[in-house]
Amino acid sequence: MSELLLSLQSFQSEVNKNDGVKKLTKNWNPRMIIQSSNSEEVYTLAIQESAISEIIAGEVASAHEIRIEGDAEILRDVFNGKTNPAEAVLNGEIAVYGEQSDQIKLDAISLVIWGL
Amino acid sequence: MKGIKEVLFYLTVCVGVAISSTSFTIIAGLNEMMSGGWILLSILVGGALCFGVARLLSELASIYPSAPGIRTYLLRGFTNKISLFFVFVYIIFVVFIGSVESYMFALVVQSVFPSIPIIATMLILIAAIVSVNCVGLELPRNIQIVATFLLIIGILAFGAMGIIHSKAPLAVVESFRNANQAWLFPASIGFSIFLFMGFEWATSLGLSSKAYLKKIPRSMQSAIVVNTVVYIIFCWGLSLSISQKVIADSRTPHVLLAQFQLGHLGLYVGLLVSFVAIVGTFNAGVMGGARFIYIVAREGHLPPFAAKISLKYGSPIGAVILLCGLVLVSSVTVYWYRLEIVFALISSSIICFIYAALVLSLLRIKSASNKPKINYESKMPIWTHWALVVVLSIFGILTLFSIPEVVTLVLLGIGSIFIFAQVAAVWSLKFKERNKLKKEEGKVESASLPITT
Repeated sequence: MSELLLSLQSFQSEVNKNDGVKKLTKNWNPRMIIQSSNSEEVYTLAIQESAISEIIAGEVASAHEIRIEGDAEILRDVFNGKTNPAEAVLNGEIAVYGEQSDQIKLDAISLVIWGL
Repeated sequence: MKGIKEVLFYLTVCVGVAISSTSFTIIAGLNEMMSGGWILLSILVGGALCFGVARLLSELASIYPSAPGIRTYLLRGFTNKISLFFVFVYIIFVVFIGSVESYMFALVVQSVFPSIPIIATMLILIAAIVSVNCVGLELPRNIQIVATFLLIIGILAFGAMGIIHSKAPLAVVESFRNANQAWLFPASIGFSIFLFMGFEWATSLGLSSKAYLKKIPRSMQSAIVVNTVVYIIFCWGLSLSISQKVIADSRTPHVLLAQFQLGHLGLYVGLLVSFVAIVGTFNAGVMGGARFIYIVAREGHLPPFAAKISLKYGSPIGAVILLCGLVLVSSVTVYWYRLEIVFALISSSIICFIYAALVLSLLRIKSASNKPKINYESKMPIWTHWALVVVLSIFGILTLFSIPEVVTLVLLGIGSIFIFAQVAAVWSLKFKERNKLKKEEGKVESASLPITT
């Protein structure tokens, strides 16, 4: 199992047990597509009923999606809570494509979980 | 989102932010300096310069897609301190635009409903903006696209009616005989550049990495062409319909022209145009400033309050309240001391300096030994980059001296802004460093915690 997938599973676990994130993600059901730019890895995180319901290997398109692209190592650190995602975006280390409100909500999740 | 709709979204954001109520104040300001043909030429030159800037900004956007615009672009080309300096200058610029916008809108409302005090309209407008943004409401894209098209058609129609109804449509060229206006021409370019301000917002809106290869660059360039045509037709019709003195004394020439052509009904049409313009500008432009405040706060360069998020709505309420609070104070100052032209001049100058800094940053990035991959090539030779840096800087300086009656105030204003931005940049670096040390010593649990509303 890759380190990126392990970090995504850790992220899933943190999200699903946090009450603050539950409130934040109420009625918010996007698909998060995580794509590594230096490996072939692509994962889709389905958010349903205030929880990450599953992590699917590969890309599952959706009308409401947020796409996060970057090197696997950076993505791993972002989803492990070791790197502040706002700073990673600012430094051009990761790119986040989607609605501005979704991007802020995603950033807010990291703030609630890790206080980063 | 389908391809065409996606392009229309980027295009209408660029056009919608640029066509603001403040744009009409700028047009009044241009009429204080010169008349007819000189104004049209000034707009054409301003548009051409912005077209060049848009092509070069597209290169930066293709290197750092989805990044928060000038913060990243200047950080990669210069130091963190210089980047922060310009971010603070940009935030003040956004505050100035917001305040002039709200004042201009209040003036238009009062011209239609004389019993409504200006201050009341400004307060209601800002309170409404705070509420809408705090609960995370966004203008649906279809409405935004349609509203922007109606705005373009409306302004074009006013201008075209003025030209068609004129007995001598080419009378505008007579102003070229006035040699005195030729001296003021270079100083007017900065004003004209302001008319296109906002096309750069599209750089952080890309919905995919592919958008940065063609869609966003073409949308920004198309928006500048559209706005050039719209402003030229409008100013042409305006100068043929209303005397230069009357336009210069007005702050809402679009309402004047609408009233000239449609009588009393024109007041309501002018109000509608102002409303659509202010929605477009505030929706994507001014509130985009809140995103900058939020990002800088998330980095730890501003107090945690500015990074507060509403758990219920997922909106950056701290940044929205801070920005709108600053806009409110600034709006009251504009209203109290009638500083709209001073603020507009300072803003025009600032945007010239910021565009020059962005182009210079691209030059530095391109000349670095570890030059990043540029996915969009503007095909503009390097000398044009340098020419833009020099020309934009000169026009930025000249703009400050364009209206002699307010030169002292304008110089004091821009000097204060630069000193404030420098102090804020140094302070914010130290603030982050101090908090980092405290965090390492365990004196604070985290840089910021979200609040629930």
